[in-house]
Amino acid sequence: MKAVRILERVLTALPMSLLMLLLVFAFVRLLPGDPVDIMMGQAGNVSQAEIDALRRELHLDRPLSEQLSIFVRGLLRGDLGMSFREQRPVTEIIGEAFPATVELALAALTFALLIGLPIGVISAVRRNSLVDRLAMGFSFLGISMPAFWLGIMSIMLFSVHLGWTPVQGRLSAGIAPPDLTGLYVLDALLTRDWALLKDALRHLVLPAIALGAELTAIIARVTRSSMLEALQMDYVMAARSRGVPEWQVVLRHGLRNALIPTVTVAGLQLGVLLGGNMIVETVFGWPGLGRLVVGAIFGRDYALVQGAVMLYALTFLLANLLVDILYTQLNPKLEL
Amino acid sequence: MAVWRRLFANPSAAAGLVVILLYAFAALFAPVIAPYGPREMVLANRLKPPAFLEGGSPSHLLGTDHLGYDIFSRILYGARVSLLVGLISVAISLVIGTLLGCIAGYWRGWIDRILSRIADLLMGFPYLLFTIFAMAIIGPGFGNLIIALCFKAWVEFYRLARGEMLTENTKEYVEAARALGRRPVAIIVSEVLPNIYHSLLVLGTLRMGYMIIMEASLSFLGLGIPPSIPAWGSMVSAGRDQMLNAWWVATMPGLAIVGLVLAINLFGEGLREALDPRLRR
Repeated sequence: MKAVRILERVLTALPMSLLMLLLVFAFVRLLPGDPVDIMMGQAGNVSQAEIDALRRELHLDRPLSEQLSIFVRGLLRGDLGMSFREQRPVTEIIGEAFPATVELALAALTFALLIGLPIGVISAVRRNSLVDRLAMGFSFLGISMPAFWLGIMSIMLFSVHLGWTPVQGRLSAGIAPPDLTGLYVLDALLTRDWALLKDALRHLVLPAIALGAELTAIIARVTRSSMLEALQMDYVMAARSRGVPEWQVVLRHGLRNALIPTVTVAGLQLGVLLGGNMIVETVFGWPGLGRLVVGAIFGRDYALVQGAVMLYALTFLLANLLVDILYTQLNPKLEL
Repeated sequence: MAVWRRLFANPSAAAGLVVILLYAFAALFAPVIAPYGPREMVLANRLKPPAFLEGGSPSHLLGTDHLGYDIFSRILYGARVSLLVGLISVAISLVIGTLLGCIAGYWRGWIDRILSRIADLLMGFPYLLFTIFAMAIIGPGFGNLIIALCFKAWVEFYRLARGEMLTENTKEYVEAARALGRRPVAIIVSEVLPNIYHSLLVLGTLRMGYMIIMEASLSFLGLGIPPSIPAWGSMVSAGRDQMLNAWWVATMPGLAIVGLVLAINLFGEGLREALDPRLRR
């Protein structure tokens, strides 16, 4: 029955993505300012004939319905059109930026889980202790701090003042990444290139913390409260009375059950990672999708905005789908 | 009022409220408290360190920025933007979301299906991306910022109100009111709302901190409040270029954001515990 439920979710996601596509198309056209004017404004002296030619080339002289059909037909072929400003296919530009965004989001998620989960567990087990209070205090701070400020503060402290980490970018000049997955840390591990690994990690650590701080706090809080709930259950008492060692009670009986709400919340907060990355990527000069889309919106690069936002929405949709499936897998009660 | 007693028995919630009131006071009386006007720049006093540092002077408590603006004064004026944006955008989203949520939850049927689809669709985009987009379409400005923030923020209140409405709908007191022939609007307003407003209020408080961060983030990107009005986000953004020689320019307004949002979150959490004593642990 789980398979049916999962299939059902996948099928409802399809019309949703179509609606999103329409919304993105409409939104992009609502942006004020003519992209051709903006492009030509940068080029300087141009004739009306050149403007008309460009307009034709970009299909901007066609009615909206035709523009939509051109867009959809291209999409089906995996063609997202040309970026107005960069004069390159949008798929190519996005293809370069996407791995950077994925790497940063995964690093932030890993950080949040590695720090947030143990804090939540310890807080629940040592409830109302000094450790618990401190941890919860920090988690409040985590959800109250804007990512851009945390980013700037960490750059000031660790990069400028202490000189431990680089200020900007993904890699130092002169270090060439191999052409594998585009996730530099993974590539470095695959090729056993330790110099690359060290450099990539040094660039990654601050943005990952800035992006993951809020999620860390959320995960710690959810884990704590669901652990508290789980530890009060009958089966935990039963396990204790059977003489099961306490760490086993906490991890096997408590944490396993507390993971369900934690995964759900962490999954629902993926939007925090995907949305926050626009800010964090801008602050850290991280060459990912977030920085790309902000620049493209400012520059009225229709095709690029369209493609990037679609990718955002689809990633978001897919992530929610995955969370749902994971949730089904973790929760035995849902099995019919 | 048991709720207020419980609220004030909680030290962090009480401290949160006091801090919020302090910020509100600072915002309200900014022209009286602030030693300088929000647009009063003294180029001779550029990048002066805060009073507690070497080279600082008591006339610029938190130092000055690269244009000679007094940071303390601008933080006081900036509190107006943050508090107003937070309050107004949460109030609008709360009213719209609750209204639509009650309608969808009470009548269900096609109106529920349409509203819930729209809500799902809006939830499909990251909030910040959505607001950046909206701001790019309608342009910067105070009113536009609030519109852009509310465009999606109502969804959470909608979902909460709809869910609560669906649950309440099947309870006996609602059935009884219906059997007595009371009109739906009367049932929603005088029977159901008093039972569900608690959770809406708590969500509203906690969302306010988030809205303030959103406003600051948009202003940081240069898409929120126009630069002529002091806002904490754009102040941090200006300080970014002074990272190497004047750390206080970016640090101080950021601390102001953290202080306010932290206070709001502590208060909201305390409010939630006070309204629902089962949550106390």
